[in-house]
Amino acid sequence: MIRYTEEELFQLKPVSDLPVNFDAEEFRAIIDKVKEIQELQEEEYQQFHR
Amino acid sequence: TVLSDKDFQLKHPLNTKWTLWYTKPPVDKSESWSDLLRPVTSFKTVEEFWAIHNAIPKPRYLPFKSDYHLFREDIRPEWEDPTNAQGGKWTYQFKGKTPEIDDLWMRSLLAVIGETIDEDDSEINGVVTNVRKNGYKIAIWTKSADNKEALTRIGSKFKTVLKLGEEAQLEFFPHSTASEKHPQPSLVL
Ligand SMILES: [Zn+2]
Ligand SMILES: [Zn+2]
Repeated sequence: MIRYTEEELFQLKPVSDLPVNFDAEEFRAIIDKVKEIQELQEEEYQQFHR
Repeated sequence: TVLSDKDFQLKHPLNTKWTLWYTKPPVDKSESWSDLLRPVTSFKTVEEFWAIHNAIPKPRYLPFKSDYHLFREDIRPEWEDPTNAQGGKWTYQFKGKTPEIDDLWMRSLLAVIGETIDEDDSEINGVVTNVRKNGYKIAIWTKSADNKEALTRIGSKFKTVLKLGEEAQLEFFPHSTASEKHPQPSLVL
């Protein structure tokens, strides 16, 4: 079994930005979109429940 | 010939492959569960883990009703998956704002991928965080629900990872209780 302590994992943390094998920008955009919609829904709710 | 840096890039293998999943909060009634729970990416090395961790939003940034799930190999983060079905989860409910949640989630990830959450890799299937209005939850999912010795060991370690004090209650729920209205924990630490 291969094990790494927290310390060892931190020691292997890269200092520079590494590429990832998925579209991280798209992922973030999906999340930001949800936040936007949730915010609008919250505003709408506040409007009708004053 | 001149060898580039890439040829000498050594990556540190993890014990197993891990897959990160995300549950997108529903924004309209047409969305089904399968629309919402999706794999994001998989990784097998320490370096890939860090690259992914740095690229994705942290729990504090996520909208309510989001979940992150990190599961071994191709285990689906659902209790009906055969690898989860006989098991359960050690879960802790954080109350209030919890500004340290990003750090605690990271510590949970490191403990799981580094295999320090337990003595061996036989019980640990994955780790989940739920982002909800009433607070965050972090849970470790296990393969079995009745191996009291192993589960107690894992629960104790998990309490340390989450920096929980003596008075904090960590609860274990077998997945078989998931459909009950008021599930009771089978173990408490
Ligand atoms: Zn009303
Ligand atoms: Zn090394």
